[in-house]
Amino acid sequence: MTTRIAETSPLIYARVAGFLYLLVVPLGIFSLYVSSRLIAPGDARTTANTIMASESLFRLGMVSDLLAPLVLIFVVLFLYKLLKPVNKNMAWLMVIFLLLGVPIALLSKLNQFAALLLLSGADYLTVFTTEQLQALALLFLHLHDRGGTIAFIFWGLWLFPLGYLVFKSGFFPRILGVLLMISCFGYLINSFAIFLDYNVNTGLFGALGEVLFILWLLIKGVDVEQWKKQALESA
Amino acid sequence: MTTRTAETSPRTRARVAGLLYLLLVPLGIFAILYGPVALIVSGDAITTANNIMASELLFRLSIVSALLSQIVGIGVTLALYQLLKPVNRNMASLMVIFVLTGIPITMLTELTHVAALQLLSGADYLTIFTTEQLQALALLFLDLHGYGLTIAGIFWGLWLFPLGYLVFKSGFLPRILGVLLILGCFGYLIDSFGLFLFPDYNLNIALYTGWSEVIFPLWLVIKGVNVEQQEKLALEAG
Repeated sequence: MTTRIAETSPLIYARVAGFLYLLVVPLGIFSLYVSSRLIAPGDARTTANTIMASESLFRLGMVSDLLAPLVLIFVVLFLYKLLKPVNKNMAWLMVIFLLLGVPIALLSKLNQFAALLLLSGADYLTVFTTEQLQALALLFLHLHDRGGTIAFIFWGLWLFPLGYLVFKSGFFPRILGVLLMISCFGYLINSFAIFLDYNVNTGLFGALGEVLFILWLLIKGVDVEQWKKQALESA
Repeated sequence: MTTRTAETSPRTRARVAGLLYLLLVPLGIFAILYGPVALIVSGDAITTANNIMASELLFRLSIVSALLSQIVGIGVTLALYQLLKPVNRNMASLMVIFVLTGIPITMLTELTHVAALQLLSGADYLTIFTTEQLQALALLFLDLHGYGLTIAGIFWGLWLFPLGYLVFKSGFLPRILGVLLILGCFGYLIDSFGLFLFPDYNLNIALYTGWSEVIFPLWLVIKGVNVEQQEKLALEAG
Protein backbone atom coordinates (compact mmCIF):
# COMPACT_ATOMS: atom_id res chain seq x y z
CA MET A 1 0.00 0.00 0.00
CA THR A 2 2.75 2.43 0.97
CA THR A 3 4.63 1.71 -2.22
CA ARG A 4 1.56 2.41 -4.28
CA ILE A 5 1.06 5.77 -2.57
CA ALA A 6 4.70 6.60 -3.02
CA GLU A 7 4.28 6.00 -6.70
CA THR A 8 1.33 8.35 -7.18
CA SER A 9 2.91 11.25 -8.93
CA PRO A 10 2.44 14.68 -7.31
CA LEU A 11 1.58 15.85 -10.80
CA ILE A 12 -1.64 13.86 -10.59
CA TYR A 13 -2.60 15.51 -7.27
CA ALA A 14 -1.82 18.91 -8.78
CA ARG A 15 -3.82 18.28 -11.96
CA VAL A 16 -6.85 16.84 -10.15
CA ALA A 17 -6.82 19.65 -7.58
CA GLY A 18 -6.44 22.22 -10.35
CA PHE A 19 -9.20 20.70 -12.45
CA LEU A 20 -11.68 20.52 -9.54
CA TYR A 21 -10.74 24.01 -8.40
CA LEU A 22 -11.35 25.24 -11.93
CA LEU A 23 -14.87 23.76 -11.78
CA VAL A 24 -15.67 26.03 -8.84
CA VAL A 25 -15.10 29.14 -10.97
CA PRO A 26 -17.99 28.66 -13.45
CA LEU A 27 -20.23 27.42 -10.62
CA GLY A 28 -19.56 30.63 -8.70
CA ILE A 29 -19.92 32.86 -11.73
CA PHE A 30 -23.17 31.17 -12.72
CA SER A 31 -24.80 31.73 -9.33
CA LEU A 32 -23.60 35.35 -9.35
CA TYR A 33 -25.12 35.75 -12.79
CA VAL A 34 -28.42 34.26 -11.65
CA SER A 35 -28.62 36.55 -8.62
CA SER A 36 -27.80 39.61 -10.65
CA ARG A 37 -30.42 38.73 -13.25
CA LEU A 38 -33.22 37.79 -10.89
CA ILE A 39 -32.75 39.99 -7.87
CA ALA A 40 -33.50 43.70 -8.08
CA PRO A 41 -32.01 45.16 -4.89
CA GLY A 42 -34.58 47.02 -2.86
CA ASP A 43 -37.41 46.21 -5.27
CA ALA A 44 -39.49 43.42 -3.79
CA ARG A 45 -42.14 43.25 -6.47
CA THR A 46 -39.81 43.10 -9.48
CA THR A 47 -37.63 40.54 -7.70
CA ALA A 48 -40.61 38.37 -6.87
CA ASN A 49 -41.97 38.51 -10.41
CA THR A 50 -38.63 37.73 -12.07
CA ILE A 51 -37.89 34.86 -9.73
CA MET A 52 -41.29 33.26 -10.20
CA ALA A 53 -41.08 33.73 -13.98
CA SER A 54 -37.71 31.93 -14.07
CA GLU A 55 -37.99 29.63 -11.10
CA SER A 56 -35.95 26.87 -12.70
CA LEU A 57 -33.08 29.28 -13.39
CA PHE A 58 -33.24 30.37 -9.74
CA ARG A 59 -33.13 26.74 -8.61
CA LEU A 60 -30.21 26.01 -10.93
CA GLY A 61 -28.36 28.92 -9.37
CA MET A 62 -29.04 27.43 -5.94
CA VAL A 63 -27.77 24.03 -7.02
CA SER A 64 -24.56 25.41 -8.44
CA ASP A 65 -24.05 27.34 -5.21
CA LEU A 66 -24.59 24.14 -3.23
CA LEU A 67 -22.20 22.18 -5.43
CA ALA A 68 -19.28 24.61 -5.21
CA PRO A 69 -18.49 23.99 -1.50
CA LEU A 70 -18.78 20.24 -2.05
CA VAL A 71 -16.24 20.38 -4.88
CA LEU A 72 -13.99 22.54 -2.68
CA ILE A 73 -13.85 19.73 -0.09
CA PHE A 74 -12.13 17.55 -2.67
CA VAL A 75 -9.91 20.40 -3.84
CA VAL A 76 -8.58 20.91 -0.33
CA LEU A 77 -8.08 17.18 0.24
CA PHE A 78 -5.95 16.87 -2.89
CA LEU A 79 -4.03 20.02 -1.96
CA TYR A 80 -3.49 18.48 1.48
CA LYS A 81 -1.89 15.43 -0.15
CA LEU A 82 0.26 17.70 -2.25
CA LEU A 83 1.36 20.13 0.48
CA LYS A 84 1.52 17.92 3.59
CA PRO A 85 5.27 17.31 3.12
CA VAL A 86 5.92 21.05 3.50
CA ASN A 87 4.32 21.42 6.94
CA LYS A 88 1.75 19.03 8.25
CA ASN A 89 0.22 21.37 10.85
CA MET A 90 -0.30 24.15 8.32
CA ALA A 91 -1.80 21.67 5.88
CA TRP A 92 -4.28 20.61 8.56
CA LEU A 93 -5.15 24.21 9.35
CA MET A 94 -5.94 24.73 5.66
CA VAL A 95 -8.34 21.76 5.68
CA ILE A 96 -10.00 22.89 8.92
CA PHE A 97 -10.63 26.44 7.67
CA LEU A 98 -12.14 25.24 4.44
CA LEU A 99 -14.38 22.65 6.11
CA LEU A 100 -15.76 25.25 8.53
CA GLY A 101 -17.04 27.31 5.62
CA VAL A 102 -19.01 24.42 4.13
CA PRO A 103 -21.87 24.06 6.68
CA ILE A 104 -22.27 27.84 6.81
CA ALA A 105 -22.52 28.18 3.04
CA LEU A 106 -24.90 25.24 2.71
CA LEU A 107 -27.24 26.09 5.60
CA SER A 108 -27.42 29.67 4.43
CA LYS A 109 -29.22 28.34 1.34
CA LEU A 110 -32.20 27.78 3.62
CA ASN A 111 -32.89 31.50 3.26
CA GLN A 112 -33.37 31.08 -0.47
CA PHE A 113 -35.81 28.25 0.13
CA ALA A 114 -37.68 30.53 2.53
CA ALA A 115 -37.94 33.13 -0.23
CA LEU A 116 -39.21 30.53 -2.70
CA LEU A 117 -41.79 29.24 -0.23
CA LEU A 118 -43.02 32.76 0.52
CA LEU A 119 -43.48 33.39 -3.19
CA SER A 120 -44.96 29.97 -3.91
CA GLY A 121 -48.55 31.13 -3.51
CA ALA A 122 -49.25 28.37 -1.01
CA ASP A 123 -52.72 28.59 0.50
CA TYR A 124 -51.59 28.83 4.10
CA LEU A 125 -49.68 32.02 3.32
CA THR A 126 -52.64 33.89 1.82
CA VAL A 127 -53.33 35.46 5.22
CA PHE A 128 -50.56 37.88 4.23
CA THR A 129 -50.96 40.29 1.34
CA THR A 130 -48.92 39.65 -1.79
CA GLU A 131 -46.84 42.76 -1.07
CA GLN A 132 -46.02 41.55 2.42
CA LEU A 133 -44.96 38.14 1.15
CA GLN A 134 -42.77 39.76 -1.50
CA ALA A 135 -41.12 42.01 1.08
CA LEU A 136 -40.42 39.04 3.36
CA ALA A 137 -38.96 37.13 0.42
CA LEU A 138 -36.56 39.99 -0.30
CA LEU A 139 -35.60 40.06 3.39
CA PHE A 140 -34.65 36.37 3.24
CA LEU A 141 -32.71 36.92 0.02
CA HIS A 142 -30.77 39.62 1.86
CA LEU A 143 -30.08 37.15 4.68
CA HIS A 144 -28.88 34.60 2.14
CA ASP A 145 -26.47 37.18 0.83
CA ARG A 146 -25.07 37.88 4.29
CA GLY A 147 -24.84 34.16 5.02
CA GLY A 148 -22.56 33.98 2.01
CA THR A 149 -20.55 36.85 3.46
CA ILE A 150 -20.00 34.82 6.66
CA ALA A 151 -18.94 31.78 4.63
CA PHE A 152 -16.49 33.99 2.74
CA ILE A 153 -14.57 34.54 5.98
CA PHE A 154 -13.50 30.92 5.62
CA TRP A 155 -13.18 31.02 1.84
CA GLY A 156 -10.58 33.67 2.67
CA LEU A 157 -8.97 32.11 5.75
CA TRP A 158 -8.00 28.79 4.16
CA LEU A 159 -5.98 30.67 1.55
CA PHE A 160 -3.53 31.85 4.22
CA PRO A 161 -2.12 28.42 5.13
CA LEU A 162 -2.40 27.48 1.45
CA GLY A 163 -0.36 30.54 0.43
CA TYR A 164 2.14 29.92 3.21
CA LEU A 165 2.63 26.31 2.11
CA VAL A 166 2.97 27.29 -1.55
CA PHE A 167 5.50 29.97 -0.56
CA LYS A 168 7.58 27.56 1.54
CA SER A 169 7.22 24.56 -0.74
CA GLY A 170 10.05 25.08 -3.18
CA PHE A 171 7.96 23.31 -5.81
CA PHE A 172 5.74 26.29 -6.60
CA PRO A 173 6.79 29.84 -7.48
CA ARG A 174 6.91 31.92 -4.30
CA ILE A 175 4.91 34.74 -5.84
CA LEU A 176 1.85 32.48 -6.05
CA GLY A 177 2.07 31.97 -2.32
CA VAL A 178 2.22 35.71 -1.73
CA LEU A 179 -0.77 36.32 -4.00
CA LEU A 180 -2.80 33.66 -2.20
CA MET A 181 -2.05 35.20 1.18
CA ILE A 182 -3.12 38.58 -0.21
CA SER A 183 -6.31 36.88 -1.40
CA CYS A 184 -6.95 35.76 2.15
CA PHE A 185 -6.89 39.31 3.44
CA GLY A 186 -8.85 40.57 0.45
CA TYR A 187 -11.76 38.28 1.27
CA LEU A 188 -11.50 38.80 5.04
CA ILE A 189 -11.50 42.60 4.82
CA ASN A 190 -14.36 42.45 2.35
CA SER A 191 -16.51 40.30 4.66
CA PHE A 192 -15.92 42.26 7.84
CA ALA A 193 -16.39 45.59 6.06
CA ILE A 194 -19.80 44.46 4.83
CA PHE A 195 -20.92 43.77 8.39
CA LEU A 196 -19.80 47.27 9.36
CA ASP A 197 -21.80 48.61 6.41
CA TYR A 198 -18.84 49.55 4.21
CA ASN A 199 -18.34 48.31 0.69
CA VAL A 200 -14.62 48.03 -0.03
CA ASN A 201 -14.65 45.43 -2.83
CA THR A 202 -11.30 43.95 -1.88
CA GLY A 203 -12.66 40.55 -2.88
CA LEU A 204 -11.38 41.14 -6.40
CA PHE A 205 -7.78 40.75 -5.21
CA GLY A 206 -8.88 37.42 -3.84
CA ALA A 207 -10.02 36.13 -7.16
CA LEU A 208 -6.73 37.07 -8.86
CA GLY A 209 -4.48 34.90 -6.65
CA GLU A 210 -6.87 31.98 -6.86
CA VAL A 211 -7.21 32.06 -10.65
CA LEU A 212 -3.44 32.26 -11.20
CA PHE A 213 -2.89 29.38 -8.78
CA ILE A 214 -5.49 27.23 -10.57
CA LEU A 215 -3.90 27.93 -13.94
CA TRP A 216 -0.45 27.09 -12.60
CA LEU A 217 -1.70 23.78 -11.17
CA LEU A 218 -3.24 22.85 -14.51
CA ILE A 219 -0.57 24.07 -16.89
CA LYS A 220 2.70 23.73 -15.01
CA GLY A 221 1.77 21.38 -12.18
CA VAL A 222 4.58 21.09 -9.63
CA ASP A 223 8.35 20.69 -9.68
CA VAL A 224 8.34 16.92 -9.21
CA GLU A 225 12.00 16.61 -8.19
CA GLN A 226 11.60 19.19 -5.43
CA TRP A 227 8.36 17.58 -4.25
CA LYS A 228 9.96 14.14 -3.96
CA LYS A 229 12.87 15.61 -2.03
CA GLN A 230 10.46 17.28 0.42
CA ALA A 231 8.33 14.15 0.75
CA LEU A 232 11.37 12.03 1.60
CA GLU A 233 12.60 14.53 4.18
CA SER A 234 9.26 14.78 5.96
CA ALA A 235 8.58 11.04 5.90
CA MET B 1 10.84 22.79 10.31
CA THR B 2 10.15 19.77 12.52
CA THR B 3 13.09 20.58 14.77
CA ARG B 4 11.92 24.14 15.14
CA THR B 5 8.48 22.94 16.25
CA ALA B 6 9.98 20.53 18.70
CA GLU B 7 11.97 23.36 20.19
CA THR B 8 8.96 25.63 20.81
CA SER B 9 8.94 25.66 24.58
CA PRO B 10 5.79 24.42 26.29
CA ARG B 11 5.89 27.63 28.31
CA THR B 12 5.56 29.69 25.12
CA ARG B 13 2.74 27.47 23.95
CA ALA B 14 0.94 27.91 27.24
CA ARG B 15 1.39 31.70 27.06
CA VAL B 16 0.09 31.87 23.47
CA ALA B 17 -2.91 29.71 24.31
CA GLY B 18 -3.59 31.73 27.46
CA LEU B 19 -3.31 35.11 25.76
CA LEU B 20 -5.56 34.11 22.87
CA TYR B 21 -8.03 32.63 25.34
CA LEU B 22 -8.04 35.87 27.34
CA LEU B 23 -8.69 37.79 24.13
CA LEU B 24 -11.93 35.81 23.88
CA VAL B 25 -13.19 37.28 27.14
CA PRO B 26 -13.63 40.89 25.91
CA LEU B 27 -14.79 39.70 22.47
CA GLY B 28 -17.31 37.35 24.04
CA ILE B 29 -18.50 39.88 26.58
CA PHE B 30 -18.92 42.49 23.87
CA ALA B 31 -20.62 40.14 21.42
CA ILE B 32 -22.84 38.17 23.73
CA LEU B 33 -23.36 40.25 26.81
CA TYR B 34 -22.77 43.95 26.31
CA GLY B 35 -23.96 44.47 22.75
CA PRO B 36 -27.23 42.58 22.97
CA VAL B 37 -27.90 42.86 26.70
CA ALA B 38 -27.41 46.61 26.80
CA LEU B 39 -29.67 47.18 23.81
CA ILE B 40 -32.34 44.52 24.02
CA VAL B 41 -35.24 44.95 26.40
CA SER B 42 -36.95 41.60 26.69
CA GLY B 43 -40.52 41.69 25.44
CA ASP B 44 -40.37 45.41 24.56
CA ALA B 45 -40.06 45.68 20.79
CA ILE B 46 -40.30 49.48 20.58
CA THR B 47 -37.61 50.31 23.15
CA THR B 48 -35.36 47.61 21.74
CA ALA B 49 -35.76 48.92 18.21
CA ASN B 50 -35.03 52.48 19.29
CA ASN B 51 -31.97 51.39 21.28
CA ILE B 52 -30.54 49.43 18.39
CA MET B 53 -31.07 52.13 15.83
CA ALA B 54 -29.58 54.72 18.19
CA SER B 55 -26.41 52.62 18.54
CA GLU B 56 -26.31 50.88 15.21
CA LEU B 57 -22.51 50.88 15.09
CA LEU B 58 -22.30 49.23 18.51
CA PHE B 59 -24.72 46.59 17.32
CA ARG B 60 -22.71 45.99 14.13
CA LEU B 61 -19.52 45.75 16.17
CA SER B 62 -21.14 43.07 18.30
CA ILE B 63 -21.77 41.06 15.13
CA VAL B 64 -18.16 41.49 14.07
CA SER B 65 -16.78 40.54 17.48
CA ALA B 66 -19.00 37.46 17.60
CA LEU B 67 -17.54 36.36 14.25
CA LEU B 68 -13.98 37.24 15.26
CA SER B 69 -14.25 35.42 18.58
CA GLN B 70 -14.88 32.20 16.70
CA ILE B 71 -11.74 32.59 14.62
CA VAL B 72 -9.68 33.38 17.70
CA GLY B 73 -11.30 30.32 19.29
CA ILE B 74 -9.79 28.13 16.56
CA GLY B 75 -6.35 29.48 17.49
CA VAL B 76 -6.94 28.84 21.21
CA THR B 77 -7.98 25.26 20.64
CA LEU B 78 -5.10 24.45 18.32
CA ALA B 79 -2.59 25.97 20.77
CA LEU B 80 -4.14 23.95 23.62
CA TYR B 81 -4.06 20.85 21.43
CA GLN B 82 -0.31 21.22 20.95
CA LEU B 83 0.16 21.71 24.68
CA LEU B 84 -2.05 18.85 25.86
CA LYS B 85 -1.58 16.30 23.08
CA PRO B 86 1.15 14.47 25.03
CA VAL B 87 -1.34 13.71 27.83
CA ASN B 88 -3.83 11.87 25.67
CA ARG B 89 -3.98 12.36 21.94
CA ASN B 90 -7.55 11.08 21.50
CA MET B 91 -8.96 13.35 24.18
CA ALA B 92 -7.08 16.29 22.67
CA SER B 93 -8.61 15.54 19.25
CA LEU B 94 -12.07 15.27 20.83
CA MET B 95 -11.57 18.72 22.33
CA VAL B 96 -10.72 20.20 18.91
CA ILE B 97 -13.68 18.46 17.25
CA PHE B 98 -16.16 19.82 19.81
CA VAL B 99 -14.91 23.38 19.35
CA LEU B 100 -14.92 23.17 15.57
CA THR B 101 -18.46 21.79 15.48
CA GLY B 102 -19.80 24.74 17.45
CA ILE B 103 -18.18 27.38 15.26
CA PRO B 104 -20.44 27.30 12.18
CA ILE B 105 -23.48 27.24 14.47
CA THR B 106 -22.36 30.33 16.33
CA MET B 107 -21.39 32.20 13.20
CA LEU B 108 -24.53 31.42 11.27
CA THR B 109 -26.59 32.53 14.26
CA GLU B 110 -25.33 36.07 13.63
CA LEU B 111 -27.64 36.15 10.62
CA THR B 112 -30.52 36.72 13.03
CA HIS B 113 -28.85 39.98 14.07
CA VAL B 114 -28.46 40.91 10.41
CA ALA B 115 -32.20 40.24 9.98
CA ALA B 116 -33.09 42.48 12.93
CA LEU B 117 -30.93 45.29 11.54
CA GLN B 118 -32.49 44.96 8.11
CA LEU B 119 -36.03 44.99 9.54
CA LEU B 120 -35.26 48.17 11.47
CA SER B 121 -33.31 49.77 8.62
CA GLY B 122 -36.28 51.65 7.23
CA ALA B 123 -35.70 50.12 3.79
CA ASP B 124 -38.39 51.16 1.32
CA TYR B 125 -39.48 47.68 0.43
CA LEU B 126 -40.38 46.96 4.07
CA THR B 127 -42.74 49.93 4.47
CA ILE B 128 -45.56 47.61 3.48
CA PHE B 129 -45.44 46.57 7.14
CA THR B 130 -46.25 48.97 9.96
CA THR B 131 -43.38 50.15 12.16
CA GLU B 132 -44.81 48.13 15.04
CA GLN B 133 -44.88 44.97 12.94
CA LEU B 134 -41.28 45.46 11.84
CA GLN B 135 -40.18 46.06 15.42
CA ALA B 136 -41.99 42.93 16.56
CA LEU B 137 -40.36 40.88 13.82
CA ALA B 138 -36.98 42.33 14.79
CA LEU B 139 -37.49 41.25 18.39
CA LEU B 140 -38.47 37.78 17.17
CA PHE B 141 -35.13 37.49 15.34
CA LEU B 142 -33.27 38.83 18.38
CA ASP B 143 -34.90 36.12 20.50
CA LEU B 144 -33.91 33.53 17.90
CA HIS B 145 -30.35 34.78 18.28
CA GLY B 146 -30.49 33.81 21.93
CA TYR B 147 -31.68 30.32 21.05
CA GLY B 148 -29.03 29.98 18.34
CA LEU B 149 -26.35 30.74 20.91
CA THR B 150 -28.01 28.28 23.30
CA ILE B 151 -27.56 25.57 20.68
CA ALA B 152 -23.95 26.65 20.18
CA GLY B 153 -23.61 26.67 23.99
CA ILE B 154 -23.85 22.88 23.92
CA PHE B 155 -20.46 22.82 22.22
CA TRP B 156 -19.00 25.67 24.27
CA GLY B 157 -19.72 23.35 27.17
CA LEU B 158 -18.77 20.01 25.63
CA TRP B 159 -15.19 20.93 24.70
CA LEU B 160 -14.45 21.86 28.32
CA PHE B 161 -14.87 18.23 29.35
CA PRO B 162 -11.90 16.82 27.41
CA LEU B 163 -9.99 20.02 28.22
CA GLY B 164 -10.67 19.64 31.95
CA TYR B 165 -9.83 15.95 31.81
CA LEU B 166 -6.51 16.65 30.08
CA VAL B 167 -5.62 19.40 32.56
CA PHE B 168 -6.53 17.09 35.47
CA LYS B 169 -4.43 14.21 34.15
CA SER B 170 -1.55 16.32 32.86
CA GLY B 171 0.58 16.63 35.96
CA PHE B 172 1.86 19.95 34.64
CA LEU B 173 -1.22 22.00 35.53
CA PRO B 174 -3.08 22.07 38.88
CA ARG B 175 -5.75 19.40 39.15
CA ILE B 176 -8.27 21.81 40.59
CA LEU B 177 -8.27 23.73 37.29
CA GLY B 178 -9.29 20.55 35.53
CA VAL B 179 -12.17 20.05 37.96
CA LEU B 180 -13.34 23.64 37.49
CA LEU B 181 -13.28 23.29 33.71
CA ILE B 182 -15.35 20.11 33.86
CA LEU B 183 -17.85 21.95 36.06
CA GLY B 184 -17.85 24.64 33.36
CA CYS B 185 -18.86 21.98 30.85
CA PHE B 186 -21.89 20.97 32.88
CA GLY B 187 -22.78 24.60 33.57
CA TYR B 188 -23.20 25.32 29.87
CA LEU B 189 -24.95 22.02 29.18
CA ILE B 190 -27.49 22.45 31.98
CA ASP B 191 -28.17 26.03 30.89
CA SER B 192 -28.68 25.05 27.27
CA PHE B 193 -31.02 22.16 27.90
CA GLY B 194 -32.76 24.04 30.70
CA LEU B 195 -33.58 26.83 28.28
CA PHE B 196 -34.92 24.42 25.69
CA LEU B 197 -37.13 22.63 28.20
CA PHE B 198 -38.39 25.39 30.46
CA PRO B 199 -39.60 28.71 29.06
CA ASP B 200 -38.90 30.52 32.35
CA TYR B 201 -35.45 29.05 32.88
CA ASN B 202 -33.15 31.67 34.33
CA LEU B 203 -30.63 29.83 36.50
CA ASN B 204 -27.66 30.96 34.38
CA ILE B 205 -25.29 28.49 35.99
CA ALA B 206 -22.64 29.33 33.39
CA LEU B 207 -22.34 32.77 34.96
CA TYR B 208 -20.72 31.04 37.96
CA THR B 209 -19.05 28.01 36.42
CA GLY B 210 -17.81 30.20 33.56
CA TRP B 211 -15.17 31.72 35.86
CA SER B 212 -13.05 28.65 35.23
CA GLU B 213 -12.60 30.05 31.71
CA VAL B 214 -11.07 33.20 33.16
CA ILE B 215 -8.96 31.48 35.82
CA PHE B 216 -7.54 28.86 33.46
CA PRO B 217 -6.17 31.26 30.81
CA LEU B 218 -4.86 33.56 33.58
CA TRP B 219 -3.01 30.59 35.04
CA LEU B 220 -1.57 29.77 31.62
CA VAL B 221 -0.32 33.33 31.15
CA ILE B 222 0.94 34.01 34.68
CA LYS B 223 2.14 30.63 35.91
CA GLY B 224 2.46 28.75 32.64
CA VAL B 225 3.07 25.02 32.93
CA ASN B 226 5.47 22.77 34.78
CA VAL B 227 7.91 22.57 31.89
CA GLU B 228 9.85 19.55 33.08
CA GLN B 229 6.72 17.47 33.50
CA GLN B 230 5.29 18.56 30.12
CA GLU B 231 8.52 17.71 28.30
CA LYS B 232 8.75 14.34 30.01
CA LEU B 233 5.25 13.47 28.83
CA ALA B 234 5.95 14.79 25.33
CA LEU B 235 9.02 12.55 25.10
CA GLU B 236 7.07 9.53 26.31
CA ALA B 237 4.28 10.19 23.85
CA GLY B 238 6.83 10.57 21.08
